[in-house]
Amino acid sequence: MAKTLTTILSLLFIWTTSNKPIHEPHFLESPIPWDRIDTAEYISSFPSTTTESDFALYILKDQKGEPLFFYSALTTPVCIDNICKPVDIEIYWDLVGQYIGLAIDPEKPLTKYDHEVWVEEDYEKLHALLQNKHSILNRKSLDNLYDLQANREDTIRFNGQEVDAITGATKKEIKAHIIDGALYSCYAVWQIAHGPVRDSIRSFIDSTFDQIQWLKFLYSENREYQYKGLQNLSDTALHDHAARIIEVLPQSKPVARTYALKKLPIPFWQNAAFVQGVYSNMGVYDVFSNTILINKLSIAEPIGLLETSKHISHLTKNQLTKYLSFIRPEMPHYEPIVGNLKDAFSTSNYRYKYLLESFMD
Amino acid sequence: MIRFLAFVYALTIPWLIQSQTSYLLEAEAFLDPGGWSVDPQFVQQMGSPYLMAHGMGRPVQDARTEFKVDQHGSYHVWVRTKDWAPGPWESPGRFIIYIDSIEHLVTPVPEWNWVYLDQYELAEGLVSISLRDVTGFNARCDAIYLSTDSVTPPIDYDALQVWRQAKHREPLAPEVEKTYDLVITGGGIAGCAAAIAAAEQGLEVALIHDRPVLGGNASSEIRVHTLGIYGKFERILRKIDTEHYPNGSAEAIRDQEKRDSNMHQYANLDIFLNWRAYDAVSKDSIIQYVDARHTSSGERIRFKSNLFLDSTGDGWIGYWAGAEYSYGRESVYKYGEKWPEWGELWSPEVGDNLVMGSSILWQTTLLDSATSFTEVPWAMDVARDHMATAGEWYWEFSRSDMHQIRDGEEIRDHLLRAIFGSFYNAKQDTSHSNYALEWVSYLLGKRESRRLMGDHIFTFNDVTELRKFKDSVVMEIREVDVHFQKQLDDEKQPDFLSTALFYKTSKYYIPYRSLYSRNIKNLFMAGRNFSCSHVGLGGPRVMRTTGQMGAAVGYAASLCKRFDVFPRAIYHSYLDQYMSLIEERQWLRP
Ligand SMILES: Cc1cc2nc3c(=O)[nH]c(=O)nc-3n(C[C@H](O)[C@H](O)[C@H](O)COP(=O)(O)OP(=O)(O)OC[C@H]3O[C@@H](n4cnc5c(N)ncnc54)[C@H](O)[C@@H]3O)c2cc1C
Repeated sequence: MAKTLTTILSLLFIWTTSNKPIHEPHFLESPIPWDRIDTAEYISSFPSTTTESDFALYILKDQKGEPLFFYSALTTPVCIDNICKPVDIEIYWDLVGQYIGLAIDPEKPLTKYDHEVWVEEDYEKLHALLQNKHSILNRKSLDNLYDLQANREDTIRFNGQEVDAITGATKKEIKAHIIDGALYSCYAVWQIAHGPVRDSIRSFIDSTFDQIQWLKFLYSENREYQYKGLQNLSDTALHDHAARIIEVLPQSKPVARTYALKKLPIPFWQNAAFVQGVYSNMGVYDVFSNTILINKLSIAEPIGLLETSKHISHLTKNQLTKYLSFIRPEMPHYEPIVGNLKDAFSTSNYRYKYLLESFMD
Repeated sequence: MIRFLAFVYALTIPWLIQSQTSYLLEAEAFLDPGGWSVDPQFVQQMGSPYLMAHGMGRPVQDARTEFKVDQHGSYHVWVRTKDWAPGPWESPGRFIIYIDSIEHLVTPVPEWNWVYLDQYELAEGLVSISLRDVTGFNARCDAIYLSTDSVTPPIDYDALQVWRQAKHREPLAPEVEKTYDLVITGGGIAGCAAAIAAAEQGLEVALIHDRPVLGGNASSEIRVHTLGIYGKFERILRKIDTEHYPNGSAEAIRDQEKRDSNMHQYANLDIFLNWRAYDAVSKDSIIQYVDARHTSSGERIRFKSNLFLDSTGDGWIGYWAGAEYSYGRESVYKYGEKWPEWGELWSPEVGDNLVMGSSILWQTTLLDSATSFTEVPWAMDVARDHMATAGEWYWEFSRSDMHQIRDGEEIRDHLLRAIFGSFYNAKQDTSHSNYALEWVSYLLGKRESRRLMGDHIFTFNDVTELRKFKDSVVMEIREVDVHFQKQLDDEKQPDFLSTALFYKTSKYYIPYRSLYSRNIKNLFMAGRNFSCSHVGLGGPRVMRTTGQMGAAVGYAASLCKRFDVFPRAIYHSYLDQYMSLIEERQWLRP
């Protein structure tokens, strides 16, 4: 019943507000301007861990029907431990469900415990807090946080020493990121922005986005979108867009890069142009990715061995040891490889150059 | 008492065996180690316990020994040492060796190696040798070799072991043998709990532990507080657990005293402190014995038993005995341990060997006046611009090209560089002038390495589905937390910090079948090397939970003895007796 009512109210809200959110967001971490939003389509309602009723989730699109953001207006009071309070705030998520911004109705500013109205700095703090997906708020109960906040002025001392311990870290984080007198709102909004809504968004995109959309993601400049594209594109599509993968890898987060490098099937490693493209960027990759590349040398085109030799000083001891185990006089590119090893030995401050000594005769 | 005296006597003789023209002095057997610590953590990788000058930047007191030269001659001298932070700077591992009054600066080379010093004339009679620390930063010395022959001792691990044994004229097998009802290797909380439960049930128990104090990660040497619930074993676990002080706190010392005194209450429990197991041999899938060596004197004992418990954390006994084990992260498809919210960071699509990392905890103190901290150029490529005045659990290091056991020493050294470098950075800020390093552990606190496989492999699904088993012997309500290196999500972060992902749960259970090996018939396991998946380890690796595992094993072992069976039979044939025993024993007065 509550659900149906929310749905009807939410639909009504959207229709009466010319199909899109009316309050310009306070913050929106996106290169897409807010006024590109043309329509809001209701998708589903999502349960909240902190309210009795559900919230309506919308997808916002531009004039051409391109999805831009997900959006929800928290119009009903949020309740924790049977205490309910209105928290009028509108939240934006990007297309992979990450919190990116918020809007406030200027008529209904947020208020603190003592009814004082939030100031700009408070909103900034909230926005920063919401961007932290690993916030301590994820783990602590509200009670727990009240206790911590009550003592927040205590210096965290232990046997006369300041301790950067979990309790210390918690208090520090709380002090730094939670708005004085507004712990409740901060907690509730964080729980909503990072709660079941993310499942709703995930299941929506997984069930409605198609290969064309995933391809757009791969070609997007947003690295989270690129990652999602890599996760969802078929092997054939990935194969057809190998050149784009070479471009994307240096920009990716290590977790996405390692994901892609582990997953790409054997034909990629037998494609000399791809191997050369990917290995030529080892100097900018993270250590986890380079480990995968070194391990892949056993199946990769030999050009990979040559490219790696240009980045010797980026290798760790174990990576170098493994790399050197692949080097044989009879293999292609042997001479230029040894030339590069000699250069690394004689010109750099590389910590592990002692491992190269045997190539110096 | 007699045994104790014999032991003391053995310790007073340096572990030195001489042939006609050569002397091999093991540093860990020096008569007086001074301020140098005996480090046996990496024996399986580099061959021996060694002495290390862990002075946190202040040179430690000299280590000293004597030996008798039988024959006057001209001796070549080598020192086995390692430059633990190689690079374009003066090695922090430099130290001075005195042979009588002759002084020689030892400049170590990368990797464990024999550094040749010179040729010295030595007259017949007592010669004294001392090691003088120069930097206070972890110089290390494994052994000193003096020989009239100029042939360099072997470098390769296997050849070195054979050579060492020959030099020490050691027989192949230990000459001392001891037989027990249960032999436990590893005296962390799991091993201690097992020892108590089994001893209470009247078993003759040996507990072999490679440190001077019990408790593993919870000991005063590593200082992690114990988390988790007591389950059915509160009476036992309260004897050995800790208060909830911040990790790294000196309060751990008080809990250490409690643990030590409680552990020494049992006449039928022999505790072998400073003994490190180095081999376990099985025949027809039954372990026959475990061999262990004293970490300073080098003496050896062969421990025989019908039942063995591996609570080494690293699954050593199982590994040597041929037990099936896992290492690394399984593919998410293997057991279906998906958590969509965290995807690859939780359980990857393609498995790999990235595990939760190891840590070094550390503490600072605030002095009344300013104090300086020396430059540490060899630490800066690890610490970069990170500043810190204390550590916590998230000072953690794991990398996919490194193995938590094989590369343990490099992991430890990387963390030391992270600590010293970050503290140096903090000291450049005047607000930290009065901070001084108070305590930095040199022991690696480990979270995950080998996991021995049992009849049941405990996974995340046992938690999400809150599965109950008819052999549920361990229970827990604490969150499941799996760590990942921060750099994976944000490459700008230092490589030695981690983030934890927490999955909240109601009470979940671990069956007895996760506590014995599926292919080695007389092997139990308890602690973080129990039978589980990578994600499965996320919850139960905390030490009250691992303590529950240990206690459960102790009781199971008592029934194995009573009915003369191996561990699996307890599940199949004596489960009622087993579950009742656990039930009955929980309410006894301490
Ligand atoms: C920094 C850090 C923070 C953590 N935080 C917590 C926390 O807050 N609370 C919590 O409960 N848990 C925590 N954990 C996890 C927990 O400490 C580990 O999972 C713990 O190792 C489990 O105990 P254990 O008995 O299985 O192993 P261990 O504690 O490792 O004990 C095994 C012992 O066996 C000895 N040993 C190994 N090989 C041999 C051998 N061959 N011969 C003889 N002895 C041997 C080792 O020296 C070691 O002391 C933390 C871990 C770390 C590293």
